[in-house]
Amino acid sequence: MPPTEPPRSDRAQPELTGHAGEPSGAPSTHPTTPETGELPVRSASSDGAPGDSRSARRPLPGTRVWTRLRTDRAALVGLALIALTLLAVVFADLITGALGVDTETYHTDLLDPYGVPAGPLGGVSLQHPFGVEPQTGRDLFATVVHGARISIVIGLGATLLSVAIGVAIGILAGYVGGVADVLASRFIDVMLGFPSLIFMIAISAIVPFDFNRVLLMVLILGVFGWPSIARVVRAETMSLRARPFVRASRSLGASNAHIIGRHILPNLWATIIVFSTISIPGKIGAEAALSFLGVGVRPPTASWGRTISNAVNWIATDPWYLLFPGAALFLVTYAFNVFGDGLRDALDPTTQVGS
Amino acid sequence: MTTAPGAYAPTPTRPVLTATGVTVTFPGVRAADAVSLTAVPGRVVALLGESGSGKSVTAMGLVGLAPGAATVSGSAELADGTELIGAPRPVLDAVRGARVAAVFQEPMRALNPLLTIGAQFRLALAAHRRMSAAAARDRAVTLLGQVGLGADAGAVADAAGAADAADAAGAGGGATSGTAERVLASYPHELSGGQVQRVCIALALANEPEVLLADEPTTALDVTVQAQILDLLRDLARAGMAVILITHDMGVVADIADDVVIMREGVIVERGAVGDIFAHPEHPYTRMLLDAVPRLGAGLVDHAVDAAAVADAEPVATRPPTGPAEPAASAPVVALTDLTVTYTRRGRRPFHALDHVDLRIDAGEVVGLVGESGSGKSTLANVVTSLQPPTSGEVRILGQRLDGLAPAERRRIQARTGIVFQDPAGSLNPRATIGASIAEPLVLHADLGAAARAERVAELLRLVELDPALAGRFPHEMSGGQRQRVAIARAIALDPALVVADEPTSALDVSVQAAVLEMFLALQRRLGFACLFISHDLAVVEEVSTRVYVLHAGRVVEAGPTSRVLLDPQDPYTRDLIAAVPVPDPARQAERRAARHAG
Repeated sequence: MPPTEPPRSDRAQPELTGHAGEPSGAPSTHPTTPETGELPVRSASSDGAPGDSRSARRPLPGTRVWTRLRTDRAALVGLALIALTLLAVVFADLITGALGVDTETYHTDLLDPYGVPAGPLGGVSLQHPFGVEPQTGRDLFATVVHGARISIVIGLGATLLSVAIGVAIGILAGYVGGVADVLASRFIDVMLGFPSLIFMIAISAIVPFDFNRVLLMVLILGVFGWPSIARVVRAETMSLRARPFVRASRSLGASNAHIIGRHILPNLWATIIVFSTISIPGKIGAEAALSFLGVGVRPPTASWGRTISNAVNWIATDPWYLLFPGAALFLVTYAFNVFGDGLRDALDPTTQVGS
Repeated sequence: MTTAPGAYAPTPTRPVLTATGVTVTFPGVRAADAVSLTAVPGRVVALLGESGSGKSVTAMGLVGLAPGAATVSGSAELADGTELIGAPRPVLDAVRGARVAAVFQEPMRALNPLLTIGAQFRLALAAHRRMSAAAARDRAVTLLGQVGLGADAGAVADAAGAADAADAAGAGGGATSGTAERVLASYPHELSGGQVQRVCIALALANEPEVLLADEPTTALDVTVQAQILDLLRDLARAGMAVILITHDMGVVADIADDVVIMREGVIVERGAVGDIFAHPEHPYTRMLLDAVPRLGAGLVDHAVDAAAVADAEPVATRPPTGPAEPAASAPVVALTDLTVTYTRRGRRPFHALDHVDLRIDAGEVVGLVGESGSGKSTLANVVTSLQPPTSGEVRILGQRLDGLAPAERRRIQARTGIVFQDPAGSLNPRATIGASIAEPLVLHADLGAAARAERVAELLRLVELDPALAGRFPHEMSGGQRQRVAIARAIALDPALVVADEPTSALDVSVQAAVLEMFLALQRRLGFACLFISHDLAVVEEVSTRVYVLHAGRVVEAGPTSRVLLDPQDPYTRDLIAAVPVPDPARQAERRAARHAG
């Protein structure tokens, strides 16, 4: 080990001017800080005496992310909406039970002679807060709450699956390169050009009738949904692989697992998170399309997609039918987007949050 | 070139552009404060400053090209009374390119890569006048002749450079003819960096501007190419152009500027004729800048002594007594024998990045490696740090052959080498705290507990003269100089036998560069590691190394003690290289220029 006495004492600080003038663009953020390192300390936990080792007392990374996330109001709204939706998903039966409504009971007495809900706003009442379905008079609140269960499970599950596959293949192609890259890239291209919808319909049609339809949807949408993220991750990995900090790590003899885990993945999170959050509503929509075509979840199981595609047929006579499931889908999409944005910013130490 | 700069006496002319009290503000920051500047036909005025001094935003602000978030106030008046600051878009459109033209730092990025040079000329000309295609073409040929890309001697000289660049890129084909027709039919990527910058200058001249704004026009170029472009700018000024040259390089200023304006943090600290500024700098900042510039030839006398001292006493005296076992003193730390690295790509002829290279670094020795872009410097660094396997030849690190080594053995050797890269922003993982970055070698190779690791990180930070409290910071919260110190701390974390420093200070401002270099050298003496110091800057190499290798197109063209190679170069390429470096002294630079043109 080298000698340990601090070398500052034996020489005047050699940083001559040093301040604002460095290529990092520092002047715009720290216009008056000297180069010697006395930048204002931002993190709340790092105000101990100088000279001792700080890293041992550094907060866990998760703590820091949460500290930053907490100051981002939009992200918190998104988080609250997501939490609310998840509660509805988990306790759907309890909620509808407490209100005394369900998805199956017909209330034809609430309809006018043309099959349209009687009363204002599509039959909104204390008994039926979201009104009732035209033609059958089934409770819309129960339909939306139970539909959330199917839509969210499929949306989240399929997204997780496709992102996991896509990230794995993308990193493989971008990091290993060579033949692996050629093969993976061709595979991605073929998958992107593949008529997935037709294939999905075919698969749904031949799967045994008693196979869990929700699981089937997750598998089908997940397995066909990965190519686009794989392509993005591949490109980003290739550029990260050539960055000096990765080369420095490799020159130290770091294993591939170490480099991917410590250097590549942390720099991919932003991409992965943003991609996932915009992918979830897409997956919910895809489930709606398949259900509409009759190969998704089967009636009478409620799903937002199915309800929305039904409601579209009633748009002229009963526009309120579309409002509540549509608003639910919109809010969930919005929530995932703003939360994803906030999470990305909180994970990225270079952004200023909560200002 | 017929006139020496001393002999040139410009007739007093009215300025063509007068800027007074130009202030550029970004939200929360004043980037330039009340800057005044005049551009006079026939003279080069240099706006000199380090990064962040506001020199570029000021100059670009004059013609409405400051970044969108900037607010520019003050006055910039052309000779006929046209006010540019705050002028509406149509006025600016009529002025920009026609009366005030700009040349930028990175020529390759200043041109549209999908258009031929001929098409770019047509666009530039069509922006300000109606012209037939044939006339535009004739005009373009004339302009290219003016910048030395006609069929004259200048073009031939640069064509040689182009061939080099083409070799370097492994591109094979490309422009080898200097004729204007060939250039017009080429795409930017088919030309060398120097040729493209000539094209950019020709494009700037297309509409006969009164003022040429040159923003670091040679910073991205190799030193031999830089010399040619500076000659060209000088000739243009002598022919009556008013040139505003934005630069950070004292040598460039000494070479071609008539007047100097020195900026620091948005404020002019000193201005004057170039001779006065260099001979009698008044402001402390100017003096500090001049002192901080590494000067070729300045340290040679000291070095003869130094070299002897280093060879005899120093490594032994400063080696930490409890350090890990060193290899036998006789075994060189690095020994490359007949090393060749060849890149083969489908459809391209094989490209020899390194061609039968022999190189040796002994324990505790700092060896300089000099070369221009494409010379194979970085490939050599990659081979030594086992990032790149050799095509043929032998690589011995610490006495062990690298090829055919068991993975565990290779890792053991890798643990004994550190590496420092040029780009301080890229060499640290932006998602990791600098403490984590410095600790990475310890995590990989040393079996330390978290507390011991943190202790070692703090100790390393102190060694590179940083506050250990910075360990929790992220790279973007630090300045470039600080980040480079962190990269050095990571490189020495395992007390290496060898540190490969690949242009470690090239991206830093001169004042910061001086401080980082001094710190690095002090560390080297104290820890006694051997160092391969790669740089394109001869003055820096002279300051740090005892022996030097000159690399050109993959071959070692000259090697020997630093003082011998730099004072008495034998190889013609080394001589050209040394002659091309502008020295920060107007009088000496004038002599050197004259000698270069005579020779």
